[in-house]
Amino acid sequence: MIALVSEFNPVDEFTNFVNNPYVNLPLGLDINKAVVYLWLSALLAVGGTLLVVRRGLALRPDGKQTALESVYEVAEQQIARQGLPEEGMRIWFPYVATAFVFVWAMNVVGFLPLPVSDEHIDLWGLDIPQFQIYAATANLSVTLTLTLVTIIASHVEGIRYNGVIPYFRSWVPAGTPKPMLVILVPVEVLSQFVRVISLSVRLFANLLAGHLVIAVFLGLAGLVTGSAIFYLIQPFGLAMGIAIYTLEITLIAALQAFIFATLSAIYIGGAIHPDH
Amino acid sequence: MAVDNTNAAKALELGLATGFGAIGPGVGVGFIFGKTIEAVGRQPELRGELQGLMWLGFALTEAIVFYALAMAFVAYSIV
Repeated sequence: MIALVSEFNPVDEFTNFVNNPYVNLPLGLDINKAVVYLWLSALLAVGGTLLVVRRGLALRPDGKQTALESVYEVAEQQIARQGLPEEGMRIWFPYVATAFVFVWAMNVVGFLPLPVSDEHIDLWGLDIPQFQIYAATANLSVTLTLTLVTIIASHVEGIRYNGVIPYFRSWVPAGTPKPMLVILVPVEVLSQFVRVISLSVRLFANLLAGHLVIAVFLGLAGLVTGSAIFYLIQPFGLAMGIAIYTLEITLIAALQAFIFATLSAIYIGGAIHPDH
Repeated sequence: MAVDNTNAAKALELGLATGFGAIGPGVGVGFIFGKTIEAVGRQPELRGELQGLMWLGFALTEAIVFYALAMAFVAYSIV
């Protein structure tokens, strides 16, 4: 039986790797666990798609092509058309669809146990790395970067389509009485900054909390103490861990990618056409 | 004998902050699903459109729990 280390802190899984990256590079551009997960996700998102379409698209699609086409259709009908106006589709539909597929790939890769940990386990004399789950999106730097792309793009597009003064004037509803502006302007400016926080922290905290809940329940299953009551808790912990894992990898991973892409489309579309 | 209660207080803080933070979103998520079922019952032909809106509203509401959780972790790690 493999005894667990007595000091089990689930939060460490998400913070420790920053201090000991695989490769040290200047300016803090280290290659650490999050970067490796980003590469794996990009490989899955690009490689998986290329594998299906490498011989061109068939007129009578097979199973794989049908699945890919339904992802495209969700990205176009459910995500992009929710927020983007017709003139913004040409530039921003590719971005929004890419964000959807990339975030989805990151979330799914995040739930596969991979041996990329820097912690090793001694199993019958063999030194093998621990299999761990960790998601690139469970890292605030990753989600904040993606969010900043969306937010900066929305302001740039808003200024490009409307001009500087009309764009910033469109933040407050037209025809607002002058005294109301004293309250309304700070609130609207603040809401633009809150968007940055809400979009990034939503994705980050969802994935972090999902991984933590799995870690806590499976940690309960691996709990070894002298007390007899823990033998009753162990099956419960294992069952709950598997149930939440299934929920997260099927529903939450896709749903959070969908939400991120939809809100990106709404923010960019709202800046291009501020009046609706 | 002096007892260090810091860890107990931190554990309580984490549980209480997340638990209280989950009350409001719990009610809200229930409302969203309930109202969607009601709306689909009235106009079944709008099901697809309503479902997209439902998931959007669900995720926006659910995120509030995670703000509470994130703040709880901040408070947990500061002390």
